Amino acid sequence: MTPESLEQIEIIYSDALALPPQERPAFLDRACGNDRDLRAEIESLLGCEQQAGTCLDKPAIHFVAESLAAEGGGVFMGRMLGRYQLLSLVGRGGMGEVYCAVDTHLNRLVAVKILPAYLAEDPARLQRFTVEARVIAALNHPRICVLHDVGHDEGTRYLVFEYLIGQMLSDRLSGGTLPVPEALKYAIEVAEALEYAHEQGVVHHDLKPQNIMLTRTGVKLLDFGIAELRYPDADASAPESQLRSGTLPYMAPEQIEGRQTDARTDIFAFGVMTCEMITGRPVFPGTGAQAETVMPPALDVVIRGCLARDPSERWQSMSDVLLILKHVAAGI
Amino acid sequence: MKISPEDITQLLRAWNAGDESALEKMTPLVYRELYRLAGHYMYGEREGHTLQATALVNEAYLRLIEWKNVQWQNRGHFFGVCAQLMRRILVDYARSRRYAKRGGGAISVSLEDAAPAAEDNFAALMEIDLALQRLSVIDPRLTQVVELRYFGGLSVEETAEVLKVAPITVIRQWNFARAWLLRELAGTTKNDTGISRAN
Repeated sequence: MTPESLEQIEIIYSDALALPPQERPAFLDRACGNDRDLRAEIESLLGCEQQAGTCLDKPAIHFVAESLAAEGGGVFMGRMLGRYQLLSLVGRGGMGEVYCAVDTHLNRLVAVKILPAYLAEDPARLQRFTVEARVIAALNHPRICVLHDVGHDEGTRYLVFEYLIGQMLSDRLSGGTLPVPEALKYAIEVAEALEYAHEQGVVHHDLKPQNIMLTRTGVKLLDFGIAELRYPDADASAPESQLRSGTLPYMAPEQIEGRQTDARTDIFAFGVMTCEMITGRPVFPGTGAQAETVMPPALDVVIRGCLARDPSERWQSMSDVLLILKHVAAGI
Repeated sequence: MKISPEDITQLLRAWNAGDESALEKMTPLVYRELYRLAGHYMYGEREGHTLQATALVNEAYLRLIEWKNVQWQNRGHFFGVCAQLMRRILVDYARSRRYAKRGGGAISVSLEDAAPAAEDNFAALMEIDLALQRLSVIDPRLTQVVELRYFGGLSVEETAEVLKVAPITVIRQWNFARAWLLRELAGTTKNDTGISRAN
């Protein structure tokens, strides 16, 4: 098929297209003569012209935009919040919608979390939230998702985070348990993040696989403990809501019972999570035959030390846990 | 630190010369227009028809590029590069939306379940891109017309000016290319292995 013959086809097709359908056969008799291949080609092209409402009717960007609109992706799609333009909805957490967005000043992608309305309605809560947000924003560690900004726009409050691409640990685990070396690698990376945060006086409070992302460069911890976001009413840690948000299995006894929490609360959750990575369940397996995966004895000791019900019986600092894990990893 | 027309010019040139990182920087700009339009469609301000649609895309385009302020040796070349960039970004986007839904893990967190029609649309755009690649082997001029009109959103007159041909030629070429692509698409939907009909 040469460009010249193609051009001939184009011209005949165009002329045929311009005619009312009933006049086309006669026209094609004249234009194509005995060339049946040519005629067949033109006729098959004319057949496609019938297709109305196709993807080629409008410019591509409109076609894609309409498809997105049909998906119904979030109330804020396409809108501006402050200097951020919201794009697609990428998640719905227990605490509101998260959008991929563009920071129009720095021309980069970010993740914007829309905060629930009850926050703005209580000035005292709002004040505590702002203070906490500042503390979180000061965290600077490669294993912690960066909080870039906090803002509000006409009554809608939002948090702006680093935009991450990867897979949630919870999704990874839904495909089965992890081999011990991989689980150890993630555990160590999470432990590094927690060690740093605890040194800065920040407790996560909600460590669970749904808050851990596996990125190209390793683990990233999300949703660091902004307590004011978590408890919408005076009756703080109502277990039903924790169950709904998937937190309950990871909650230390002192957390469930509404008592004083501290860094050791995170250590408990860390133990549960590490156990789950290896055994597939966020509870310690029974002795003997029940365990699906062989838990290396050293790791067994580390995890049990995280899971003591009494905080004073647990490992007392993430630094120590990290140190132990590194020794275990070296020995395996 | 807002991005300026000069920055955009440089990025386009760099991308055209093979620098992929320039694409990363241009992507947020295109996404912004894409989602602005999507929000537009979602909230009921329906654009019906081609004339209006083209005008909107041009407006988006002008805002994106502010080409009137930009010195390019060859305006045709400039529009050509823009259109190619739009093509690349939109097709990559359609691909990422399709595979993310299948748990490809490319995008974080749990995604909305895409309405089936939307997912088909993203697939269709990818098919158009592939079909266009096949077309470019047979006739590169037609590919240019499709890129400028379909991906670049240029009108017939604008496309004619860029390609330095008569508008009637553009119409003829676009009609033909459109039919050819639709026929290719119909062929591939029947045969899911993606093998198109030989021409």
